[in-house]
Amino acid sequence: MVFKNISRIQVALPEVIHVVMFYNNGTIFQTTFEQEINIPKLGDSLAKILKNIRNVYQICNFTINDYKKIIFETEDVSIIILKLGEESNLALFFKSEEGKDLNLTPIKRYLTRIEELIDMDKKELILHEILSKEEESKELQIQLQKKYQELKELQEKLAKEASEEEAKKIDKELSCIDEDCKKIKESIVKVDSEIKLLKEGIEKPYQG
Amino acid sequence: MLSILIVLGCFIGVIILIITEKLNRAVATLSGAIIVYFVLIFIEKLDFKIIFELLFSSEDESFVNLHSLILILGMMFIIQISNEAGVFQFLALNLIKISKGKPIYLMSIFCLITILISAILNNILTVIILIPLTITVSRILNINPSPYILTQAILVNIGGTFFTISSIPNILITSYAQISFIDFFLNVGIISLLIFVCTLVFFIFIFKKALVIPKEGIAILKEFNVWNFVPDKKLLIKSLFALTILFVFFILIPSSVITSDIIALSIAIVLIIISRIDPKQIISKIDFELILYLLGIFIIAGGLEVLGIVQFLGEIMSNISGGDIFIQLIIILWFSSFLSSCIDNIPITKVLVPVIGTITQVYPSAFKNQFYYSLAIGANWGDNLTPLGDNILVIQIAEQNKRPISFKQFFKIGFITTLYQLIIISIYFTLIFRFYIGIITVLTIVLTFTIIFILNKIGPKKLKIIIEKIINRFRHIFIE
Repeated sequence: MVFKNISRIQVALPEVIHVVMFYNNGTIFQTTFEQEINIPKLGDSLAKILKNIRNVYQICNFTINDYKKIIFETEDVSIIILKLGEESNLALFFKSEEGKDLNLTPIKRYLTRIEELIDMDKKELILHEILSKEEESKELQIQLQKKYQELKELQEKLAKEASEEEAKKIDKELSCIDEDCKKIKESIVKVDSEIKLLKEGIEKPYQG
Repeated sequence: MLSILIVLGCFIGVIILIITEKLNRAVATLSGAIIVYFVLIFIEKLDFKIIFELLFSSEDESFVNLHSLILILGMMFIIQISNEAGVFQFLALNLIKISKGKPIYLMSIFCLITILISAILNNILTVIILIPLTITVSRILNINPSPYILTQAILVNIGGTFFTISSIPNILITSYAQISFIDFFLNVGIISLLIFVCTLVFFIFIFKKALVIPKEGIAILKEFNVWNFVPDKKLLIKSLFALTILFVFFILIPSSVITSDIIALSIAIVLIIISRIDPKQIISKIDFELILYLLGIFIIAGGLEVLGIVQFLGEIMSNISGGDIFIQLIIILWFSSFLSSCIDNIPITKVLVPVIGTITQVYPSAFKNQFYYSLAIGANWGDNLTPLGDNILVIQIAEQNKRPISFKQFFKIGFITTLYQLIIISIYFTLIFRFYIGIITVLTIVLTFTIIFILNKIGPKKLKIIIEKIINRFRHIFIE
């Protein structure tokens, strides 16, 4: 799946000779490099580049939140490191061509897709959780409406039926449905409070 | 008396320095060792030979300290090369991929990997390897890694009691008591495996609702190339072969023929030669701070022994229990657990090993070993009662990788899980020494849980709701 995106990048930018997807801790997720090179060391070295540049910013008292890209151009091969997700990056190795500037626009949409796939940041994770909880809450509301409908139908039936035996049966069913309604309501309150908590969590600034 | 006061004060001072991290732990213990040296040579007027005997042990004690040091050094070399070869990440990720992203499988595999790796590596190295890997996998799967990190941090200590080589306290204990690799595994390793299963069930029960994995993440996990952790396939094969040979030799060769330290060191040297890695590179990564720390501890703890403080402690413990083996065992288990929860377990073990020697002087060897097993369990597992020591590192690594875990949550889960584990072990000892009380306790627990389970399945609705509420409240203690 991810490889598709890598190959699409290579199609969109034929100058790209190698691609490395790596995390800030040096772990390489995927690369087009063959196993004959020391891949863990490559990951470590790329991660060190990012760390060292951050250090440079710190020493110079510049503020740094997120970087966008790092470019290292040489006569033969140039490297561009692009930020993907919260902790993930993409290193593109180009064959340098004289007088030709690189245009990254054609690959931008693939970058967003890869970011979504391999590294979702914490806020997005919580947002996903909120969305699924909201869906859960909606489903529970639908269930509750259904139960109310059943309750209404049974009450109407009870008003029409005269037989004592049947009335007893309906009464029993009514109390069962009532119990179910109570349970669903409790679940809704619980899910809603969970959503509230998650929303509060997302509003709090990260204190890492 | 003056010597006793100085050495005791020195021991307490060193412990305070280690806890407060005011001084590097190796420097702290070496400073203490120098004070002990002056006390023994100039106040007690002992011969210099005593320092040599404290460092490496005497012939009468079969040079246990020297054997421990060689074993630690040999294991450090093997582990370092295997780590360079990416053995542990490679094996871990292969196992994770087997889970196919199924939440409970994934949780079980993460736990299994933790204990397997920590059965070979020390806790710190295990955590350094596993926590970033877990966070990376969680990023790929788009899940919250907290339940996995918390369970791994706690299970690291269980893996520490699998083999004689799994932790420094085990090496110190088994060298002193001359317990073989296989004996230790059969008596402590198997129990640890049982406790692992109990703890895993407990964690799955607590985190069941939090273990959800999106489908897309599962497909992406398959794309994670495990070979990206391996710098050189040949080195990986050599390291795996060396680790296998090490375990086979530990199991097959009795220590009366070749001691385990010599086996480890021989395999380490062969591996250094065949790995073709620059030896300087490997030596530079060896934890010499730990070796110096141990040398310092050997002298301080030895000083306590020479001056009779250890024997005094042993006598106090014997008197408290009234000579009852079962009570003594339980005291050792809980005392060492609580001590190692606040103090590093290496000095605790080094001091308590001769204390056990004093207590068990008159006991038959089968009972004697139970005391050492109890100490090994207490010293290793007690660590999780507080989020101090290695556990601080877990919190730091999680924060560095932008997936912070709460200190409060870690404390709660660590404390309750460790109590749960220690209670199970206490019941196990009760079954050995007080069979009827033990069996009644086990049956009561099993019966209570069976009744709760049956009521939850087929009981009246109201009761089911109450049980569910209690269970949810219990879960919420752990999940913030």
